[in-house]
Amino acid sequence: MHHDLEARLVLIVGASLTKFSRRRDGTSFRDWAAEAFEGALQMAEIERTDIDALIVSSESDFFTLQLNPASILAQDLGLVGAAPLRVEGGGASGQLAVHAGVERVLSGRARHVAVVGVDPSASALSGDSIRKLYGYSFDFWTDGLTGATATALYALSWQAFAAARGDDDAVLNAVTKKNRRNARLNPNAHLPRLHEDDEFASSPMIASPYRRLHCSPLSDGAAAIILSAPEAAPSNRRKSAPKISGIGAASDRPALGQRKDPGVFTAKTEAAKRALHMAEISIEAVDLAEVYDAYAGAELQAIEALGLSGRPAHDVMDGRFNADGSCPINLSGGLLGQGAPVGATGVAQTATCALLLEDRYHDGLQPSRGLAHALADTHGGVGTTCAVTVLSTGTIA
Amino acid sequence: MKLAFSLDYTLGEGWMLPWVEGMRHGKAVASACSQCNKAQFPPTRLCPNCRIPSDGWTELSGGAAILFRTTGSDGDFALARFDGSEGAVVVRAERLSDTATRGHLNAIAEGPPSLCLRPEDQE
Repeated sequence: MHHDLEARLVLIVGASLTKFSRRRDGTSFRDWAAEAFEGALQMAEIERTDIDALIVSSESDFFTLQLNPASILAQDLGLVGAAPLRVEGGGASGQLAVHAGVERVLSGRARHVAVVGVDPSASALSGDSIRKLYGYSFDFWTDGLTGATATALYALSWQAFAAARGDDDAVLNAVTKKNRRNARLNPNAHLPRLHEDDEFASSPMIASPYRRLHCSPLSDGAAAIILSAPEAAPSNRRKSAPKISGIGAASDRPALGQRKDPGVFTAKTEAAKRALHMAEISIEAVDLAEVYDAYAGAELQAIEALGLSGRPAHDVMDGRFNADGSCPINLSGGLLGQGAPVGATGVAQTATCALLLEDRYHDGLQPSRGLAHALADTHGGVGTTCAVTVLSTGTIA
Repeated sequence: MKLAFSLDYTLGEGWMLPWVEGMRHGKAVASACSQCNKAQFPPTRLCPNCRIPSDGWTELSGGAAILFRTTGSDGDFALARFDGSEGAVVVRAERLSDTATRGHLNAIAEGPPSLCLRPEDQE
């Protein structure tokens, strides 16, 4: 076990995302995974033969009909021989895969790890089929067989949160508008939109108070990062690549009714504490965050749970989390704007933070001020399986 | 490429069997812990307070208070706490008025267990 600070760091030497959208072009998840991986590999300035391990994040074999996807992708990506692992944790799959990769490097068992997240959440199955399968992401015997959808469960959780704080549902519109506005400058985004206030009232009610516009879309796509031990990274990348300085994960009871407060994401708070402790920074040091906004209200619940604000609704309305605010949240557009190919989501959030910290992000979204720390937050269930990653800049000699 | 197939599952109820059988008869059967004397509906294998195995079953009245409710194209669902249970549970609201604050567990004659609340004054 390493104890010196430098040995506890892992560099993100490569990061790449495909476009997130509903694919109608006949391509498959294997194509998207390859596209994301090749982009990350090119940025990493290493050879594919250097990669010791492949971590694949994919939420469900029901989407791809491909059990053991890591073996297939290892072959497609030219990584046969590398240690394969598939990670699944619902919506948190991608961030948990990042954590698994970090732990491989920190343990000394790998010098370079490829983390690839991918899912065909939009095009492989009908919306009704996906909705039914997602309904089994909670407790199958209770929520699942009762037919409660993800949207209904998130709506009940948001109601509990909002009731305790006196929050108006108008803040749901503000979150949606913010993230989709950011998405307009992200060429990979699924829903780049500029919403007018009157659109929300006419948007179909899915599960009150969530209207369709407050829900993230089902998307196809992939994201990949290459993690390297500092001493193994190419010297050019070692100088400029951001590092993963902290990881933390935690779990809550899957059923909302069995929690002390169904509106509070307790596990997210614990996951963030663990990641920030490892990074040796406070939440106030975080310059920007990619936050899990499967639904508009979930972003507010996450902001509070992460400790980014004690008054999330007030601060959202005040513009603090806008692209030009003091702590931009979801510059990518988040799940609401960029989209949500589930297995790719957490990897994409971390890749986005890495590109932002390295000043490589999309024009118009890259902050002009210097950045030191970014946070990526992902969860599965309704804040049940929570995974948080802290990224930091800093030259390693 | 289009592909369609169906899957037929046989799933064991396991330790939840008394709860599932109770629901078939419209009875709210909860797990119980003799150490803290708390009941949980739906049941938990471990008592959430004592973190030891639940060691009994108890039948609740079946009446439940509605805490939160959501309606829309995905259906009509509520977070409800059954009388006598420490925890709450998400249920499907069936024939409940928009202003209902309570309901009663509905029996599931056949098929998978599904938690439904009906009006208290209707069988």
